[in-house]
Amino acid sequence: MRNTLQQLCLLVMVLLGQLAWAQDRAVTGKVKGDDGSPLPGVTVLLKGTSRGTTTNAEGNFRIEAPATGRLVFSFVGYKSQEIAVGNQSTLSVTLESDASNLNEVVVVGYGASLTKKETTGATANVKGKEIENLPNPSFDGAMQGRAAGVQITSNNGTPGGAVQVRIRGVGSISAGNEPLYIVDGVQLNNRNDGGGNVSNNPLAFLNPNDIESIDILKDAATAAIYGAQAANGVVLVTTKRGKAGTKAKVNLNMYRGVVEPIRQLDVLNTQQWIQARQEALITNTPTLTPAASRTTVLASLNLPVDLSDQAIAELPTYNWQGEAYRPGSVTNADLSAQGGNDRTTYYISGSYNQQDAILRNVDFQRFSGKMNLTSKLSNKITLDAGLTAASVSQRGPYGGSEGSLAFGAPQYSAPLILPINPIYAPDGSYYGLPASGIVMPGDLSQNVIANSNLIKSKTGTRQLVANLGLTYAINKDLIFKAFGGLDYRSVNSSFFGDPRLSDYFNIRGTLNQFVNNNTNLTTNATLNYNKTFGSKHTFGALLGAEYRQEINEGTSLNAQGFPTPELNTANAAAEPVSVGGFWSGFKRAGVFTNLRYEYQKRFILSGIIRYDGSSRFGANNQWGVFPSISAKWNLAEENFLKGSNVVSDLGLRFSVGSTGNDQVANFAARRLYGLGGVYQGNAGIGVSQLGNPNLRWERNVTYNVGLDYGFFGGRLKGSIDAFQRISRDLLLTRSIPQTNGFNSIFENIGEVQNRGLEFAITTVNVNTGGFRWESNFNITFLDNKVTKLFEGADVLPGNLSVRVGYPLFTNVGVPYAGVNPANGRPMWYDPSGNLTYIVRTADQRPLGHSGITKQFGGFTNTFSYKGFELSGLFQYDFGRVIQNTQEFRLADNAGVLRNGLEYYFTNRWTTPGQITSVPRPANNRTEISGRVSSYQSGTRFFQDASYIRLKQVSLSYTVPPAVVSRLKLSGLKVYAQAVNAFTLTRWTGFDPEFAIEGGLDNQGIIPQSRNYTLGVQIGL
Amino acid sequence: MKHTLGILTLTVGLFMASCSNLLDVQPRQSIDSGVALTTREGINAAVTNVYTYQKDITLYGRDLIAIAEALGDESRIINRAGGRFINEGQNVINSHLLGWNIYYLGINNINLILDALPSSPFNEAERERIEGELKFLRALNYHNLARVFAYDPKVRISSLDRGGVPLVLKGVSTPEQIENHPRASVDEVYAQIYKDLTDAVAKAPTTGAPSRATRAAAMALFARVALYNEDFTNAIKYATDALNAGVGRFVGNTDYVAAWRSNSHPESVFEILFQTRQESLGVNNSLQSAYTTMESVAQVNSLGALRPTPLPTANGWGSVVPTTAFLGLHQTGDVRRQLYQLGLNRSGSIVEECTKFVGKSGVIYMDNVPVIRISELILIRAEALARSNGDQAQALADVNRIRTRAGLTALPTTTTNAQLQTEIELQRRLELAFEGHRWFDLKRRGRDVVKSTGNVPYGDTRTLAPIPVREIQANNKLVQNAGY
Repeated sequence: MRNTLQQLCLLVMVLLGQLAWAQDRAVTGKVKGDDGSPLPGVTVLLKGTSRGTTTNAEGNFRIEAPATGRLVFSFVGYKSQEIAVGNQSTLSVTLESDASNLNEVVVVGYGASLTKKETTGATANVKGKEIENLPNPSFDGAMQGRAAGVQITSNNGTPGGAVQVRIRGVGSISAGNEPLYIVDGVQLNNRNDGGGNVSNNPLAFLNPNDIESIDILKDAATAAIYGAQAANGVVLVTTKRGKAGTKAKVNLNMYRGVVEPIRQLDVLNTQQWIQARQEALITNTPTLTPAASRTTVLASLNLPVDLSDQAIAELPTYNWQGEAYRPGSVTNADLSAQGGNDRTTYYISGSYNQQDAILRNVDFQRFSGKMNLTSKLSNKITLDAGLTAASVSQRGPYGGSEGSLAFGAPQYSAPLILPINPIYAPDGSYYGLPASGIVMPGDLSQNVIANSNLIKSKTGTRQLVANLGLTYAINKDLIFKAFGGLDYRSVNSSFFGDPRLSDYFNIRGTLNQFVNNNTNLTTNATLNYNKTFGSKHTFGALLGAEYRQEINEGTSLNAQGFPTPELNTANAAAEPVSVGGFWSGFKRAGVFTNLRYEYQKRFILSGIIRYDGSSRFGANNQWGVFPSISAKWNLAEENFLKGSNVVSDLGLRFSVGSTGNDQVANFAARRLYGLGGVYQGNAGIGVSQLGNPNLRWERNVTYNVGLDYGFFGGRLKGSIDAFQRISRDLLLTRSIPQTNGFNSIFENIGEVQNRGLEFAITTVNVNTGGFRWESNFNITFLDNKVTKLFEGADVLPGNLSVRVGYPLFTNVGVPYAGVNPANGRPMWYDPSGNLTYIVRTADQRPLGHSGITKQFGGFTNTFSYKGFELSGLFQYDFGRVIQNTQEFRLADNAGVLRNGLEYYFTNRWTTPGQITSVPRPANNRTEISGRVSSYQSGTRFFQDASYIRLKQVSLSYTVPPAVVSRLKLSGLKVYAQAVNAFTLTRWTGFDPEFAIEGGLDNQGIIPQSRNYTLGVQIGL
Repeated sequence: MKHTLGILTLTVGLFMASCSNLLDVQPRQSIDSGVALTTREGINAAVTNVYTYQKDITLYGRDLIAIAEALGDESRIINRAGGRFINEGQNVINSHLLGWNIYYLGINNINLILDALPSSPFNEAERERIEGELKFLRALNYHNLARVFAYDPKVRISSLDRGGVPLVLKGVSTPEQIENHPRASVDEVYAQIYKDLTDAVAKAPTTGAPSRATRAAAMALFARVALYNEDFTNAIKYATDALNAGVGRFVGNTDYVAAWRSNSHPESVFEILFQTRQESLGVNNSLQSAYTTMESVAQVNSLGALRPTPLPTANGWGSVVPTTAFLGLHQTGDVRRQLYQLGLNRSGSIVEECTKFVGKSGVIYMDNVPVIRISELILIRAEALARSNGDQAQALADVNRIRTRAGLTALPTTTTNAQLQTEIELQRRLELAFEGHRWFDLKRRGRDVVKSTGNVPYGDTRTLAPIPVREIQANNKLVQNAGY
């Protein structure tokens, strides 16, 4: 019954599209540039609607429009023009070229688009062109450094791996901080379903070269239309569409290149390690003679204890990092065709993308197909259909893909394995496999190269994203649109642990397999009204309803005991160990409206209200209201500026509004008994969740003041925004005393404040004699602070880094005081500032820095001259101070049977009076007095992770049209590109870019790589 | 136009009217707390689940045994496992026994079932059995909590004593029931354990041993708790009752080693069962891996008979191993010495390892863990008799039973009480070694822990485990142990 009712609701909405009333007529015309040449590809849009077309190769267009309608003509590099249709049936339009892009169209959701001038909200835009051919498998990573206020951090360097996008800071402590992604109207699920085997970025289904533009809604002025999902901002992706009336355009695009490690860590050689180990043993047993210590050390390395100094000096050192981190390749090929007539346009593309990680046998491969079709079924009805199908195959590393502490994981262990261990036996086989009877000395006794090469970790993602929209022009002012979107994803993952490897030898191999299917449906209906009264008053209204549901389910199995390594399907296993399964889902529904009033283009007022419901919340609070109001004053339209030749654009924006965040577990509000453990072969159930019937949205209130400016005909232009984003009623996992039988309860408590300033500046520095130099600079200053927790708590129990008055990710600990020069022992400062050897947990305190970024942005310079173009993007991120947890494991100076960094060896304390920060080597990292704390304790390893890097530099040459046409082509461009060419940082690990949110760090991750590619673009 | 708006209004109206349905999604992997415990199946499954917490790595899964040994004076730590147990072995501050949250998780689940029992579909006799079973488990949780986090009743150091542990006896399943529980006094905690065990002795089932709680198990635990409380009368009474209950078999000399090779130890009055392969805690977390590099009973047996060249590959970490001094306590001919044998090469060392947990279930990294066994009961009675100047003949007989079974001569009847007490302590060490007793035995006697990595004198704050810091932060009524 429920379902029937729902279906009925939807049916009625769709049927509305079949009803017809008023009459439009055809308007034709020609668009020229100010130099008199016809302009193909100009967007012609019936204002306030999504109805539009583009001019053909001759600059001609045809569109159905009511007499009272207004047509908006916009084209990159030209000022937009708006013309009232009136009685005219043919129009001749001349567009004025413009260096300012303030008149470009901004997509603001539910098919609506406004010119930049009309936008009352803070938005950022990344053109498809800017990220074209970047070797990033997913568009989120490609946006890095290109949009003010949008911070992008890759979790790690896995190609096609997870990326964290934070728009205007981190507002939530326990709930998600991911923006809402919408591709051609389809709201995507961007959960990583790789299950740990691979870092699986759900946005990687889309070939970035299929993207026309990305619009980012940053404040409530525009984002509030997405209500409860918009608190972290909205990213709207529009893919390429065919241009009406143009000749079919076929583009072939290929690039190929290499991927290489950015750096290796300098670790000890065998001799240095033996030396440090001898010292470490003597530290803890002062009675031990150097000779006896040496005997013990040699024995622990399985070496004859009577080796001479000479023989020790000749011991080999093997470079495990060099073998684990290997250069790889990157390849991309795509073919697209687009075109259309005045009724139907199409864009079709197919692509192949392959990219290796710098870790052996970890890669990404995608086949994708894309089709966009727009067709006018009648003068009133337009159909817009899109389909993207992608098949992604990824091979994952040994150990977790988002960081691993597994001894068998090369990304963790390669620098830690004792350097005396060979990688290969003399006969070329792997050294130290269990069957050989040889045991590699050291804690890390697995041949990680064999692990890398012999495991089979494969994850396939099949994704289908489809959208279907039916637009019906009820009359000249009123447009109805019904929309349905599907995002279907099936992840098939398997990990086969080869029985020849240490971890799987005695269980004779293991196979873990899972299937995860996600079906995500969005449907909405909107009614859009737009009318200009007189010549001064324009009124617009959007009314809509939306429904979204998602079902996520899966099964898994584990089996062991394989006859041979070659047979590795589940049926070959002797013993099924376990099976698993899960089911989860949510539903959302909402109605929304946006009312706009415009006075003479000078004053614009816009208001949004959305009423949203989500199944995730408590029975008492499933529904919420999200309003926003915004205004803009276009000063440049005022008489006192209208004739100015200095000021070409000046607009002041203001907005305030509220948006919601519901990124919590689907059943977070329920009181639950869940599956417990198994005993005596019976499955048990145990109380699993306290529940909270009052659980509701986390609410963001955003204030924004912005200024859009353009001077000197747009040679200097950009925008400045100041914002305050207050995230209140946080969906917080409040720690409760575990004596209650629970760790925490989800409650709406606490408040985080993000304040910031964003600057975006574009300048044309030189534009003479065919030489052009353009700069794009953006910087965001962020100030993050926890302003409230819950009653009686200034610190979040269980997470000392969350404290009132401090930014999130505040670093806490007992400050390290360096080494006692007298005896080489590490010391710390107790709360009264005295030196101590003991770190007490209770003495931890804020250290005055945090892991949150304070400034970030990018700086692009483009130089072009006669077909040559040189472009470089510097991307930077300042202010993160993070514990280098990887180095933490590499600073033992042979205190344990692992290798470590040369830095700590060279700087270790050896003689009384020596001033250094590195304590003397000590066995087991602890001096021999029980109460003394371990050398790893406290705050020794905090480092500044700020960096600035040459993210991208490319040189391209566009072959002149004359030559191209002789080759019977329509275009030809060749280019060379380098990504992550160099990085300036004080961070001493592999790379300073990695995510820390969600408990991630830099231990055992695959670091970023450096890429070089060569490519060609051919227009057929 | 008007029609459109009309229809739209209608649609939206309809849409909103069905909203409650629109947003209806029911979980399929969980049950609403309100109905979970209203059925027989639900309660049975919940009771089953209460046992599983004992398998947790921080409890009998490993730490309550292995960390207790690492803290104590019979083991040394070899760095073969990336530092595992090193800090505990050196008694570094904050490296201690764990499990606070798991004990209370178990206790809350027990409390919830106990609260639900009166209105359950079970009959009176069935309810009593479940109640007895659960009260035994609650007592076991509280006693372990008390001995890890608090001083034992009769050897308190008042200047450092911060009390027992919080006593929670009502189930929590709604936000309104959350409380900041203060620590009860040690005596209050023991009084509650006594109360629960009294009920358990009266009501627990008589069948299901050793992997389920029985009356015998309740008596046995009562004997242990009474000994910790230096309540010798009850210790003697309940040890005797438990020994007479017919659960567990005192094994002989000839099958002594074999008893440690069989899946279930024949002496177990109560033991934690690990049955299916998925219950194995694996190489990094299992008790077997903590103690030995050897993979199975078969391998232990074959290596005991013949050590081939090259040796098989090491499996477990084998980081907590007996000290030479401890091995030296065994007299020639002591059958228990056979439970320590040379393991395999890991990190360049081959040493003698304890083989009490070697994958006896037939699955690597998975062993049943005896919680209380017959030999402990005999030693409890002997100690209680000797220390209370009770029946010396019985005490001597008990300790001789342990001695002669091990292959040693019986002590003469001329043995003095002091000699007897010393001997009982020694036999406890030898008999119960690596089963997680020694650390607690030293603590309940107020003894110093003497070890080469630095002594822990009684009165050093490291005797008690720290209460997790997040608990102190989350609960303003909870007082941390001294020194942390």
